[in-house]
Amino acid sequence: MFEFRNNRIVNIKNRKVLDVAGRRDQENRNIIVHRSHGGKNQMWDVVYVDEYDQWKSKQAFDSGFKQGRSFNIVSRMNSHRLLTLSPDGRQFVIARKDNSPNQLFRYDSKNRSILTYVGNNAITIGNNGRNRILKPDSNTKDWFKNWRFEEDGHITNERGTCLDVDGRRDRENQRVISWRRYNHNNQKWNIVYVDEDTVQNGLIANKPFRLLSKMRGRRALTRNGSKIVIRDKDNSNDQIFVFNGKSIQPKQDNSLSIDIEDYGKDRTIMFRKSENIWS
Amino acid sequence: MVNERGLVFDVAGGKDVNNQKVIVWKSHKSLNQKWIVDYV
Repeated sequence: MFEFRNNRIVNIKNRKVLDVAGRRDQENRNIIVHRSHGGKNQMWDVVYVDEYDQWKSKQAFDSGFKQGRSFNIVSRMNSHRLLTLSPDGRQFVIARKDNSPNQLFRYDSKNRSILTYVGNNAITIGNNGRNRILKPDSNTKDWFKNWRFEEDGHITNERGTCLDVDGRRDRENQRVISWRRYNHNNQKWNIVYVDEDTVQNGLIANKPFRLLSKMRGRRALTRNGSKIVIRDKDNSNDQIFVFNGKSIQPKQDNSLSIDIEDYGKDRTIMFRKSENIWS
Repeated sequence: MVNERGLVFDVAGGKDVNNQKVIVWKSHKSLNQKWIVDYV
């Protein structure tokens, strides 16, 4: 026989409690009974099925983030740059606001992770939490992917490290790492909730698209060899492009990019093996 | 679609016909410079 008391499920006879074995927050981990020691691996919420959505929202609120909303993470250093997924998609940096989806994030209250809008990956401490490098990685419940927004502006994990602008340097593309707290502004952030429509003018990296002219015919930008024209929309790959964070490329050939002729002095655009920056 | 110098994709001459060239031009906000991103 068990009773539910102070978030613990206690055996009435021997006073032992339900305990996640080894304190490991992993999928398929065994549940055992153990003497009570006050650890989080012995604490439970009873969630009635019809109250699950309410509970989920409360969890998100407890984490300091609002569930289901997109947001920017803005540094409290002087320039107020935004946490940004780097264009190569491998690390996090600070950069000036550019309305790109690389600066948008969402919170997953189930896994307690901060997800990139581009790629839906979790902000993750590298090498399973053993180094200080932050990278985007699959969204799981591991502690090195769990974050909480504190009232004082820190974004921390349960091991006490937090998002930190490396070297306290408030400059473009400075790397953001995980580091122990020392209460400086390079570790403090504001969460600014935004309407996702504000990024509609930016291109979502690595997501294939057509570009349709707003003229009456709604013709699609089309690759014609190295030239670029408009044609009626069809199902051909010549009308499908990808933005790699810098350049627009044919989906079928990422060695080519849209480039302005004569080093940008001409009016003609072509596909070439070089990069030009578009947004 | 704008680059860092402010040039935009422009359907040459504003002619809405098949195989009309697309060039870059200074922005003048006409329909031949406006585009819809249609994710697939």
